[in-house]
Amino acid sequence: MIEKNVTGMAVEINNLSKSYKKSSGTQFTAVDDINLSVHKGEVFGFLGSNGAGKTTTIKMMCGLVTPTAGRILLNGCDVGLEHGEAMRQIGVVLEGTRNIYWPLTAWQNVMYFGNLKGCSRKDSKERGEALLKELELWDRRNDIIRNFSRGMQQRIAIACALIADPSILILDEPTLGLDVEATQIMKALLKRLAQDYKKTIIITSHQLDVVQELCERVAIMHKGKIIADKNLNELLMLFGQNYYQIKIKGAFNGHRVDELKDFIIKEEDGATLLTGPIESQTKLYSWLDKIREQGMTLISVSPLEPDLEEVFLKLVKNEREIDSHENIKNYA
Amino acid sequence: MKTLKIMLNETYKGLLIAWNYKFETFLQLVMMGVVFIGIGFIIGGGQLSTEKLAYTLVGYSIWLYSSIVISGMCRDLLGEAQAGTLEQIFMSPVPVSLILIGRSFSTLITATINILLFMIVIVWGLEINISVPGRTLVIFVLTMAGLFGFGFVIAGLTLIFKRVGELAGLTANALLFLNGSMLPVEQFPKWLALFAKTLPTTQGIILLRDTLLDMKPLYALWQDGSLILLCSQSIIYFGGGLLVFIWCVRRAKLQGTLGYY
Repeated sequence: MIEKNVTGMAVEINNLSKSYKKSSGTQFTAVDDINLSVHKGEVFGFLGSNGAGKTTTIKMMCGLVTPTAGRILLNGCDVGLEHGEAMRQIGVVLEGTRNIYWPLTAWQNVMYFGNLKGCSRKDSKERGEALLKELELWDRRNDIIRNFSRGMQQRIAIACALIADPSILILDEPTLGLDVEATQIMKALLKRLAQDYKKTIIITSHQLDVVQELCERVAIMHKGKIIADKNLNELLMLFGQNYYQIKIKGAFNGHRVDELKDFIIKEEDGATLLTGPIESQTKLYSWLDKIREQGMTLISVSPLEPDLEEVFLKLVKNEREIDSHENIKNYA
Repeated sequence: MKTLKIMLNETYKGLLIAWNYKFETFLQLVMMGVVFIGIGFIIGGGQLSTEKLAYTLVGYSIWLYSSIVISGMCRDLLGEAQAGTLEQIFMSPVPVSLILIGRSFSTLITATINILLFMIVIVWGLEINISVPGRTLVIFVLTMAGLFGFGFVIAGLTLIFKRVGELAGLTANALLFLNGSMLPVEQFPKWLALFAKTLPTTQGIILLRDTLLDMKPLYALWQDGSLILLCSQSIIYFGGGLLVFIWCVRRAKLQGTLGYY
């Protein structure tokens, strides 16, 4: 596999846009002038609500959708100008589809995709065997895919994506529809691929816990634009607030306090859980004083790990508020 | 060499998948036989005439190819779009037109196995006297090239419009009456005969009958211009079909509808 890269980036997206003409004649912009880079060996999360433009972006990276403007380089190969070479850099498992042939066996699938991607028969055999052993499916290699569980089918799809040893693996919703055990297996596999095989992995997912556990860097898309592109830890600390859970005995009698508007208040087993952001230690102590003044009995105070889901929701909410202000301004 | 390997890879996969549907294929064979005997009775005025059956068998067999190729191209592409394997194929480093040709070989091989089985049973069962000289292969290859070119057009349209299955079925069925499978084109009204001769397989059927039943040599067909006409038609259909397919792929990528179904 030829890699011609001068920047050291696995993926470079420059001023990428995609617009469609609707049947009503109006223009719809799915991706709006985005710029993005993914470093080699990075595990990169690509988030966004439905219709945000992530799948269109992924499909443009895969050469399945032609951009209206901009360009995409995969290990330095231009997807638009050097389609064949660019495709040699990636292995892809797309969302919501099978990606592999269900009437064929695991081995037949792996060999077919090996040949399709231009591997020699010897290489396909060697890599196919190694991959199926790594994925613990070697004993089932001669079984028809249709009879496999969803998790096993997904692992075979990943084996087929990796058969030509691409340095970039693109996974659109890799854990969608998998049960808890299959999700754990998938997460462990992706960690191994990143750590042991130094693959660049790009994941899109609505399961944010999966992204938080696997990714080093995350970009969030909203209405075709990138609204955040940061290291995971930076992103988690984006709102500069620490989250706490305060547990008090009995019912809570301070619901009307305005400062609690961002808190989740839940009663369970004769206690009340107050969960929410407290910006500083001083503020935390002042809160605890208020609880004592109200005559409530404190059971525990525990800091909570920052949550990607919270950050994601806040960012998208902020963008929506900006959008609605813009709309009001335009209307006025 | 690499190109050939990729085409053979596609052919092999097609054959493996076709083997999975052997029961359905067997039922199709039975249906082919029943329909052919029915047509034989109609053409023979209620009787099975072996001379007329031989004539019809040539046209009917080529029509079977038309039906398999035209409907199959559309159905297979939509099936692959549904399974997500179509997008995987388009992410291959090799030009998609080569893969399309590889798939066509697989369709040609499976169709030939089915149609040969059907023909053997019919020729043996109904005692039809027919011999197959080697030169027939030249006409057959040219006819198939034109037919597959037409199939590429259908495949391309499938990528853009998706719901062309009905149109493909209608086109395949219309060919049964228009390409001379049942009645010689010479018996059509002049305007219809002219139109029929532009369709894929019509000229092929005429020339196959000339070589199989009338034992005409190739040079005679070349001299009277009919072989030149077949060659031209096949080149136009095959080359034009490939160009239309490539254009349709570009269009589907622009519309972002390649993997839709």
